[in-house]
Amino acid sequence: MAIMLQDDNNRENNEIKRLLGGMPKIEAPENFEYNLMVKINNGSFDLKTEKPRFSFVYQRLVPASAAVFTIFVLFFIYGLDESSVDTMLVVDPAVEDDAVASMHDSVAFREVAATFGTKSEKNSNEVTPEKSSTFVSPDGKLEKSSSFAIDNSKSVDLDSYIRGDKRLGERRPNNLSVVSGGEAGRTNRFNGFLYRQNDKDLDTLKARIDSIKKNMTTEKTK
Amino acid sequence: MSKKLTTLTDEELIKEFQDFNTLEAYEILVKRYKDPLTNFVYRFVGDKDVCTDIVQDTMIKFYLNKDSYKSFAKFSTWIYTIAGNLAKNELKRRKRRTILSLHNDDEEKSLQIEDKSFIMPDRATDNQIKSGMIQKALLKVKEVYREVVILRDIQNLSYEEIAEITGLSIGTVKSRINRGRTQLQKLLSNIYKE
Repeated sequence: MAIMLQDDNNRENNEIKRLLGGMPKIEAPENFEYNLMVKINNGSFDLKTEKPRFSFVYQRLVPASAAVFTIFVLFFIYGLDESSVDTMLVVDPAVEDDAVASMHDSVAFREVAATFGTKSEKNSNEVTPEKSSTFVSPDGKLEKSSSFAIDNSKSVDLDSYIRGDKRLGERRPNNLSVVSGGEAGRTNRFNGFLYRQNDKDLDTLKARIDSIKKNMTTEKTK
Repeated sequence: MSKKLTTLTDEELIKEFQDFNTLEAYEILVKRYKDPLTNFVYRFVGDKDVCTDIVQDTMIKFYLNKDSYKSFAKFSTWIYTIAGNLAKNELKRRKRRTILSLHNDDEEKSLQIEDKSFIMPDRATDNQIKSGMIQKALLKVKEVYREVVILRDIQNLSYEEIAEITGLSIGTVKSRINRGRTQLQKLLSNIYKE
């Protein structure tokens, strides 16, 4: 079978050879030599079929550089903003205005400002402390309390009070000042425990202090 | 002297031309090779006018670069290599032109082949029609196969000579010839079964 196929193949190959060999021979034109010798004698050796020397430059480099140039131009027309390109890695990340505004309004911001007393925030000392605050209720909703937990007019620094200082609330209209445990003029982030003002307690406290003072004076006189 | 030169081999003639710049030796070589080269280039390119230009350029290159021929090679393979390279360049240029051209010039191409003046007078005969069909089929065969098939089956060169001209190994030449013939068989199945 294989031999038969090979024979067929050889036969077909021979047929092709016969067909190709039987083709008429093409001859050069009669004036071929004359034209050639004229060219040689005139020294005109411009080869018609010679590849042009700029072929590579023209075919490859020019289109490529044109494409690069176009991309370059389009990039600057429709591309990224110039400022963002230059300073992308230098500038601070952009913060939305609302976020900044809410940050400035927040109690925490005022606390920090009052604590560290930055130059810009010294002017904001005039800001009155908020009398209300927002808190998360146990059921997860945001609620606004009617009054802030610490009220300057109703709060005292017990130590200062005992030492006879003025009420801090009058001197420093800041919620931090009403927190006990801190010394006058010294501002710590954590100033101790809050003392919630209670008129009855205050009266009893005053009464106790008065009685202590009385006892002391009576003992001295004795 | 002239009589003596005609009896010289190709290699001796080019040696004469290289050493003494004997133009007569050059002319004899041109006479010997103009027709075989024209036949080869025409079968490869399929255009008479272009083929004449290619062969002219081949001869000019030979004239200008005679010193690049080394005596250890056969002159025929050297001149065929030049002609083959120029013919390939022309085909490449044509391809580029076809890609870049806005209009489809297929009709123009077919007209070019039909208009060959050297086929026209006896075109009516069966053999001429057949050879026209074979030429068309040949032009459809892949370039790499076409070249070797022409050199082998039309120009009757040996495998060694073809290997030298194309710069391929003999094995590759043989396999390419076989593939080329197979492609031709498919294209010419109607003719050779008649």
